[in-house]
Amino acid sequence: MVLALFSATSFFVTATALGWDYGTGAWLRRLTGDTPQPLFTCPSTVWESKLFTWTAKAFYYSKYVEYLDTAWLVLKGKQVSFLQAFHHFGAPWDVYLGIRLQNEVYIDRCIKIYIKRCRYRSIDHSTTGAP
Amino acid sequence: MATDEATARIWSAVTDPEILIGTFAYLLLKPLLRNSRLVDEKKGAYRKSMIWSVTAAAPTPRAHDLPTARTHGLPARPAFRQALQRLPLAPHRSTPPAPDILWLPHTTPLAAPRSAQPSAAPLGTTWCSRSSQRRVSS
Repeated sequence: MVLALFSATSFFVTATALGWDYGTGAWLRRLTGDTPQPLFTCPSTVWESKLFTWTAKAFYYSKYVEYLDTAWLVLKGKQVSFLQAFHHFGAPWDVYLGIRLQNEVYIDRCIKIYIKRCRYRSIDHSTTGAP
Repeated sequence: MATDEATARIWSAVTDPEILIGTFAYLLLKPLLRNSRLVDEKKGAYRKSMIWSVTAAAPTPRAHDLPTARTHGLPARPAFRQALQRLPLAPHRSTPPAPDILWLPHTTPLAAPRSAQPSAAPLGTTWCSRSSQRRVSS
């Protein structure tokens, strides 16, 4: 539930940083002093946005929180597949290099966040029965 | 020169201790947790969020946690346990053989007379589980 809320918030903040919020996140941009940043410019300007950078870092650290996914599988005595291990080992690298090298391809994060938000919600529903 | 600068930047990024420690710690997560006392295979352990339940109360032994089933790598369920107990099997590798146990030395036929059986398993004796058909040398 916490991760689902986090992902939903991250999606909204990233959309606000890029100006894809249809005006709903204007108050947030005023708060941080950001302006909507265009994509695909050279050099990239998205990393000048506080909202974008903060969300990117939060998303990076959430990759470590997701290690709990594997921890729970192991604690339940279940097998951890190679795909699971590969994903959780590689995901922090993916996000970290995007931030460190200020790569604009990193924008796929916005899509990933939404997918993860749906995934967490689904897991929450199947494990705790939350509607 | 730009290439050298880019290479140095990438090299600096991939050798940063933060990412190295963070990701390689993941590889230790599985063996460390698997060998810990936190493992809880009971149904509904997810709901109790395991870590909380273990720290709140010491883990209690499970009623159906049968060493025999674990030894043979088979599911430890009550029904299976009851069925297993009805069979004359070796209950555990370290347990001395019961008088009516099925034992299979390498050269002795299955229907060996009881008087021919030694009181303790000699070295090289092969114990055979009827259910799993797996052989475990004592």
